[in-house]
Amino acid sequence: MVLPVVLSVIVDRKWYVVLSARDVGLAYGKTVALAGASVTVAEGSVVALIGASGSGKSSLLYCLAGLLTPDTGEIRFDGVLLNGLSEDDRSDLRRKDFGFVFQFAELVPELTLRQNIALPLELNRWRRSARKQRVDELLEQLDIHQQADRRPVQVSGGQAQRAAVARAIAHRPRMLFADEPTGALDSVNGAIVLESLLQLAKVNRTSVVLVTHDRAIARRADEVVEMRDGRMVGSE
Amino acid sequence: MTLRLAFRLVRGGGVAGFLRLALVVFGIAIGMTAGTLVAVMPGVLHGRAEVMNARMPSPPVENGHANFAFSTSTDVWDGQRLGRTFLADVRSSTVTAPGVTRLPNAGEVVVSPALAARLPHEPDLAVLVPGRVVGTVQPAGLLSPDELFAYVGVERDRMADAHNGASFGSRDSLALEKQQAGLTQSLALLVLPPVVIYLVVCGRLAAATRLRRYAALRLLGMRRGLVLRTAFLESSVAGLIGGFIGIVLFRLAHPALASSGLLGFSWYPDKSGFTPVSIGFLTVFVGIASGFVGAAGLRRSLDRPIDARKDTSEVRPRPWLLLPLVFGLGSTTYLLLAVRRPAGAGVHYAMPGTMTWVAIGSVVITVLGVLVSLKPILAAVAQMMARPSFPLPVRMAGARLALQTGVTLRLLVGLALLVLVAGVSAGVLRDLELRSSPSGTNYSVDIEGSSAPNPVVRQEVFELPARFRWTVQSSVLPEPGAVQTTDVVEQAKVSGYRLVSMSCSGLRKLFRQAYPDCRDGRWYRMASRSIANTAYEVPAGAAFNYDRGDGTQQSVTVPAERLVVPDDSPFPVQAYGGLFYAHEGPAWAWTTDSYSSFLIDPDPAELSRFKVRVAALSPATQVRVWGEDLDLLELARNQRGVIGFGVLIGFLVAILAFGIATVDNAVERRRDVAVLLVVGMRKRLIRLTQIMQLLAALVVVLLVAAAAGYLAGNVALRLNDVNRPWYAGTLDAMMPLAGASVIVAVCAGSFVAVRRLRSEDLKRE
Ligand SMILES: Nc1ncnc2c1ncn2[C@@H]1O[C@H](COP(=O)(O)OP(=O)(O)O)[C@@H](O)[C@H]1O
Ligand SMILES: [Mg+2]
Repeated sequence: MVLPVVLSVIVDRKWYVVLSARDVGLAYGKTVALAGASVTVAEGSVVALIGASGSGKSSLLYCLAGLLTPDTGEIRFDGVLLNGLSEDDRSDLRRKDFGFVFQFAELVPELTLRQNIALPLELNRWRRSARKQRVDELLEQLDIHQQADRRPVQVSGGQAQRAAVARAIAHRPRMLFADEPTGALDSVNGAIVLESLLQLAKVNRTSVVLVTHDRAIARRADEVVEMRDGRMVGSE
Repeated sequence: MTLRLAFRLVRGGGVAGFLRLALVVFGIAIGMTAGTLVAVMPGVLHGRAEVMNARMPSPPVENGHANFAFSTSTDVWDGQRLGRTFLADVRSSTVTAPGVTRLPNAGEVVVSPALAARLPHEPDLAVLVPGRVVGTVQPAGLLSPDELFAYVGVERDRMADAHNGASFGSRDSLALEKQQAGLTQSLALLVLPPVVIYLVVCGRLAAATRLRRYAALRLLGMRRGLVLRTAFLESSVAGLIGGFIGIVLFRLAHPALASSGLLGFSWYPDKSGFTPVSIGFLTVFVGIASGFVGAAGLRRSLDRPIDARKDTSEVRPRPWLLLPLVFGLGSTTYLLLAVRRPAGAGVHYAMPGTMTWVAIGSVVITVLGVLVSLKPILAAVAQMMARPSFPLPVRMAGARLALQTGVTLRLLVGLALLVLVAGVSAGVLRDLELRSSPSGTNYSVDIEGSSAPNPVVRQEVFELPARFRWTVQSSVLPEPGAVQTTDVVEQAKVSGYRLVSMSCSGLRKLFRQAYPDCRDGRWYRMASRSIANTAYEVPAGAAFNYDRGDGTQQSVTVPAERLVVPDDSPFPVQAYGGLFYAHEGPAWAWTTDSYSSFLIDPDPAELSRFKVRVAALSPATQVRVWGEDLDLLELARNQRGVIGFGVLIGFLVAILAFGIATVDNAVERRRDVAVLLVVGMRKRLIRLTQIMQLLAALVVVLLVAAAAGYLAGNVALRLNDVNRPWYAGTLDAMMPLAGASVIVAVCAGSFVAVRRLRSEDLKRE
């Protein structure tokens, strides 16, 4: 009886820790943003970082994603220490295994939505046919196929943000980082974006780190970590 | 209040703000220097023309008495103009030339300082300016410090074709000024547009950032007027400082520039007539003007904030804008390929009048065509690059270019114009050069009988070493009357039937033909190949009268025996044929209506040697070199200098603007770059994309400009001779510019604004 459960856990790797941060410290000049923050993300789970504005959520997210290098502490992805990687290696890691959604869509302005979504696929050298199929599928799922050939300034904020979600998930990354993805949207659009983000992550078995200050959104996560003054308040 | 705010704003801009201000100040300074140079140019040229007039000897008024006898001569020495005024019988000590305290007597010379410095070391030159140096010409009588000019005192009987002079100074000849009028325009045209482009570029530096700052100020409740006034102050202070620096730069550079000859001629800087008052006015004007420009730019952005995002709208394709270029290139190509005339060597066919206008029109349309067509061409290229089959960096560069066509073009149009101008002017300069210098397998030199003092000297001159020599005399012209005739003989009489004297051996060697019938001492008729045995040839049996040199005339009957010479022979017998007397020297005696012709080796040194030998025998004798046009030569040199200088300065300014704007654009695109870095694009790829975008635009623009410049330059070259071969020098002139632009594009393009990701790059303000 026990064996199948253990096996299923191992196969499912539900508890396999894919990303972990320990005692991470970060300061911008004299401002201390992170003072010994720690967090672990299990494979396929959704972790919400909540906390007041200025508590260091974004800073931790950037460090977890290898965008910023923390001053102290260590961050491991798949057991590999991020601090030790070169700029190019971290770039490759982001390209292959990470996806990002920010508060504002941050799409490349000269490219159409379709081209924006295809960008990570191209960087990862997907074949053109596979690329097209994947992009069409995402456009359909996120209901922006009608705007596919417009540029970001030619669509609404909600549509742009949905394209950003599609771009973040297109190459089936193992990690998705989202920094207040619904913060700039009205509640209806925010709900659509959040829903599709979580849905797609689940389908692709992508782990998610979701920064938000909205407890209602945080409730959708498997795990909620609250931050204050650059460190964790407690885990639920 | 406003002033303090303006300064605080500048300080608030941080290093970038100061840098921007410094670049604007620098641009205004350069513009001011260049503008001042252009502004003094008319004064400089006018001053030179005035000196030219002031030192021209003028004849006595009716019944007035002469103070001296004179003859003037201009020569090329060492590629430089050598002006000599020969004087004899100076009877008055009160009459002097400008810049001269006492006119020289026979055996004395008064020379310019540059000439005085060279005379002791250059014995050949001293032969041309014989005599004891008794004074130097002061600046009042000289065009420039490096001018070679002399007043040479000679005995009256050593001077042929002398005129009587009463004083110096004439009013009528402004030829020099007219001839040089184009120089100012050339300089202005080359230097000022790039400076304007530079200033526009600097004015738009960090435009988005600044606009955001001003918008923030407005949000804080600052009134629109105050924002504008602040901007006005900021810009006008930059203008004043830049203007002042520019004037200082000009004052420092002017003396060096005036004496360097960098512009193809030199001048006296203190004769340029530029006063402190005009300088002050100019500076204040520049200051106020920059203030208005700065405020106006801001007003537009404040009123239409959408404009700030202009680079997000694509250019609608407007293919009809290509029409002028297509038309211009088509008609220039047609002119170059189709307008040819078979002609013998040495004969030039200038384009006929209407054709000339067509040609000039085509060149103008081509230039305009380049300007208006660049945008649609660039847009098309951008679209092509964005095709799905191309690799990612090419497509991204294409997409970026499609959005920024206007902005990119604004940066490149200055370079395109300069390349175009370099191409066209290379053709024009080549034409001037070809027209002003002797060419061919020999230099052909004539010495008029009237310019040697006596027959003894003429014989001595005739015996000077040369490859070939002959003499030419014309038949005595009939009394002037309206003789309208189609009869060949009558026509020949009216225009003078030529008699050429040369030995048979000389004739054989000259044309490399046997001429078995030629016997020294006999008379022949002579015809060029194309008129021999035609109705145009004067028939045998006609008689012409010639001056014997002793007061009597000799009638010569045209003999039947004929010598045929090639069509491109140097003898003046193409029209009706002529007489040939197989004899070395004149037929009877040296007369004033005859002249001696020489062919000498086509080597400038040999030519100088010949001139020196003539001068040694008779200093005042004029040596006329065929194809050597002093005025044109001078103009060619001036134009070459001005255009070269203008293109250089203009290019430096344009390339600087291009580089600065590219880097600024990269800085303003920080966020876009950060996004690309976040999704895992390597910096190398980003760099490649940026370079690709710049290079594609640059190469397209340069190619179009170079093609147009090449064709237009060749058309300009053929205006005066349709048979000239294709000239690649236009390309040579454009290549360095193109090469340098490509290097700058690669350097500027490889600048990636985000060195390391920072948290600021990931957030929105
Ligand atoms: N670029 C920066 N320079 C200086 N201080 C910063 C910078 N970015 C963030 N901070 C500071 O670091 C702290 C944490 O910021 P952040 O991680 O953005 O918090 P949150 O995302 O939770 O609102 C804040 O006190 C903030 O003021
Ligand atoms: Mg945040």
